[in-house]
Amino acid sequence: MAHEQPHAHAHTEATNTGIDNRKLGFWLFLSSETIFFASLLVAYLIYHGQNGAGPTPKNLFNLPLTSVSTFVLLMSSLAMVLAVFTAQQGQARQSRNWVLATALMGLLFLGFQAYEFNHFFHEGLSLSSSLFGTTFYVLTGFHGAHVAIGVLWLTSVWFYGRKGGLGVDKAGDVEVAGLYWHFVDVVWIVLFTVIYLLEAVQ
Amino acid sequence: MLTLAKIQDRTQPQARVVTQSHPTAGTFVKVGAVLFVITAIEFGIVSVTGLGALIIAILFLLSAAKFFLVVSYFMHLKWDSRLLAGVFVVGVLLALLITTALKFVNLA
Amino acid sequence: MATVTKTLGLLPRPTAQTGFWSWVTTVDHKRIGIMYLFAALFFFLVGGLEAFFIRLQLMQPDLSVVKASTFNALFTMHATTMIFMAVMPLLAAFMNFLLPLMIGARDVAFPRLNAFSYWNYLLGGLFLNTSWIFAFVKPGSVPDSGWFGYANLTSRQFSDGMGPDFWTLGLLMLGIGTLISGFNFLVTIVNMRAPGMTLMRMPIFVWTTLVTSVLVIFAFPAITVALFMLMFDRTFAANFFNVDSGGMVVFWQHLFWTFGHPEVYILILPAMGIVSEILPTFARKPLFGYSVMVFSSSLIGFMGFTVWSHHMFAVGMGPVVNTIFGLTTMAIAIPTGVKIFNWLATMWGGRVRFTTPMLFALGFIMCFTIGGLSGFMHALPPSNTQQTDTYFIVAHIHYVLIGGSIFAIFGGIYYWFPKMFGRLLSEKLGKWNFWITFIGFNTFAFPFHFLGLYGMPRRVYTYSAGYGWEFWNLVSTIGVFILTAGISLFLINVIATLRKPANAPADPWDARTIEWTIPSPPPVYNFAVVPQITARDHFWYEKYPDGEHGKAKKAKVPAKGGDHGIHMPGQSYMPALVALGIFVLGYGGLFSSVLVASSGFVLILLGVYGWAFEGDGGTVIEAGGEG
Repeated sequence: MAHEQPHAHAHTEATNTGIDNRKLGFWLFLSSETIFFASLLVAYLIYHGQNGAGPTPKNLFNLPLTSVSTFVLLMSSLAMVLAVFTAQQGQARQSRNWVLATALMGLLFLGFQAYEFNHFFHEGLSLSSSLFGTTFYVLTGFHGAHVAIGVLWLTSVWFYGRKGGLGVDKAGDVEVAGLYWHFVDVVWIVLFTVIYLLEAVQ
Repeated sequence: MLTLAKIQDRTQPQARVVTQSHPTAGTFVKVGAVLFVITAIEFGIVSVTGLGALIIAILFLLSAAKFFLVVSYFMHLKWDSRLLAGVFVVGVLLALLITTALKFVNLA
Repeated sequence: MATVTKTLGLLPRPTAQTGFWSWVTTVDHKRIGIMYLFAALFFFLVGGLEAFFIRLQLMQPDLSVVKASTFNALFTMHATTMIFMAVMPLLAAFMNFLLPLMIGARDVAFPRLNAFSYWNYLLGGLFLNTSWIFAFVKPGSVPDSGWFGYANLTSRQFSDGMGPDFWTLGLLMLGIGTLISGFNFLVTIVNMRAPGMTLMRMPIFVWTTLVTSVLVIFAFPAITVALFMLMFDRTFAANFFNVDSGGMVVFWQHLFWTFGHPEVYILILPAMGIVSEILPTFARKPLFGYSVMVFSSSLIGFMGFTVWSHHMFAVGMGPVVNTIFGLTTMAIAIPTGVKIFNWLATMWGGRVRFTTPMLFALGFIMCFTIGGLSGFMHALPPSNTQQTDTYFIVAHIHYVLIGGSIFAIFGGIYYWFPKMFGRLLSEKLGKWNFWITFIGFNTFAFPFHFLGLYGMPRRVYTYSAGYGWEFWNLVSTIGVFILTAGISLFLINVIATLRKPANAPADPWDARTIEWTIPSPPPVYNFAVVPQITARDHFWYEKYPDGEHGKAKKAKVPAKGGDHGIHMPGQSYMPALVALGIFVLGYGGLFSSVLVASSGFVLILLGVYGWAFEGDGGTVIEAGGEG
């Protein structure tokens, strides 16, 4: 015989480690993603300097601009952590606002990136123009795609909290979204250094 | 695998522990400020001449510091189970190993 | 009773428990395991058919059974199908069906993701094989650049057909599901064991599943990246492997084998786990050196990441690199060898029963050892230079994959068939199956050692008379006929048995692990009462409290359900929907059709949002009644 029972508490199952299944699963996913980005990064590193007849990084990079977008992404990470914190504290409306702020900052970062891609393209850098073009666009492009997915995810979480905000019962969802967002930020920290900063070194 | 075996194995399943946030909102803001400062330093230091190869080491250290701060504080690993940190560290170490090996092999 | 929850207020949650839709929407790991089994057996036959044509073509010199270009497609698809659509999913069938049962859980950690992995696999496999259909209209549609798709043979310049595109997209699709299974199994093992089931009390098969899953999650990203790079080169004229722009074709090999080597351990470790479960039961002795086996499996897993360039000894990496990888490869033979000795020691002094599963396990030990020995021979760079790209390698591959993985899988099917389907496969047919398969396999594959040493290269579609290769090629093809007969017996056994009534007991083999404490087949909730584990082989000690030689106590019948009901996860359309979306997206990518690709995206988004917003769902059932 089956009973009907709504399951608002389905995620409080006991686990051997005390860690929530989704949290553990997500950290495993992030661990796996480090290999993904490492492989892309390796391609950039081994092909560094192959500019063909096209523009070189030094011709194109605008470090001040990229530093600003890096700052935006870092601050979005701060907004995200505050979203998680306030959700766990039960401050449902604030949490929802911080989630939106994070998404908007992510969108701003993407705007910077779109501008940069467009500018580089008009200067003659494309996927096919040289190995620098190939590796640059693919590495930063995959990162950008991850940011875009993150923005979509965060927007969905914001929508999810439309009735009653994002309180303690939804904190787990905000937390997992947060893990994703921070990881994307952390990847950018590496990319910013390897691609832009090292290039700018005299 | 050894890490898994060593972790105190609580096979009596326990209810999910609601993570008590030991840090305050202030902690996170301070970390955010540190991240901003480090980024500013990185931006400034690239135009400093005369440091030679040392500058690369400095940049790596600074970005490693940012990496560590975001992962431990923002991603809460500092207060979470060591298993989660272990899971992530394995990935990072393997990533470093593969990156180094492939870069080295391709130089050879 | 149906639940009333609706996804997005539109679509009611599926609740059918019988019929077509019950299978499409199932999230039950047992049903998913069974679906993997049948789909994988189907693809195994497809791959076998491809092998059949290969062997027909090579039976004698200068034959024209198939064209050269078709031959290239045959060996490419044979290998790709066997590795990704047959062996891996066959092992996945066992991991899916058994994992929760062996640790006392009711399902895996993420049941809907589990279902998704299956549909993703089925559709990905079908996607790849539709290339054969497209080949009628567009020659060059079937992947034909070998199962490791070396650049720059796979570049647009040298392979302008759709073949490499099918291959790239198909493998990208298949990889998603495998990765997700990896995460799923890891969380299940770490987090969902029954009380008292410490890591060192888990059945060894669970340990090999754990190590395999770790390999999956770290190896698949590398090939995902390599495949994207190849796809971008072919579709957007990127330069990753474009020599004119400074691209390095050897970089493909590095990335591919960074995945490829762990992949072969993914193919063998669960098989080793199966053998490690079968031997103790039929030797009536516990597995010898359990801790050492756990340690060896883990070591093999870790070291699997340090040996990849042994696939590239002849590429010109230089003596330093070659030496390093030669040493690491030789080192990995040590934990492998240790396992073989442990299996032998398990049987030593035991009271061995030669049932069909036991025969396959023994066949595994013999044939995998042979395969391992040829593998070890490849490990020395100087010898490797002579052996590489010859049939000596083909010998190694087939001894470890058929003699190893497939034999273990057959053994596992015979062993766990009663648990899965409630019927025991015929022992008589089983023994005929084993011996004919064993003789057929060795007749087919052993000659490859000779052919390789006599210099016959891999992947040649024919050869001239006079090299001395005629005899062993003929023998090998005859072996294929015998092997086919053996496999046919297997299929007959399965079909005939499925028509018999389902009346197998819970523990037909007098086994040791807890999946044998529940009915055959198990109820949907697995365990009426979650077992309390007190030791490794807990069930055995319950049955034989006075030791192996004592009298068997009647096994404790699990008590009726507890006072609270059992929560079972809800069925869902979403996993299949998302998989369908990816399938459609694949064709969009193949034909560079924005319309098709967008449709795929829309389906994926619908599926993902439906999934996210439908929640866990589920019903509560009483144990004892079929929920």
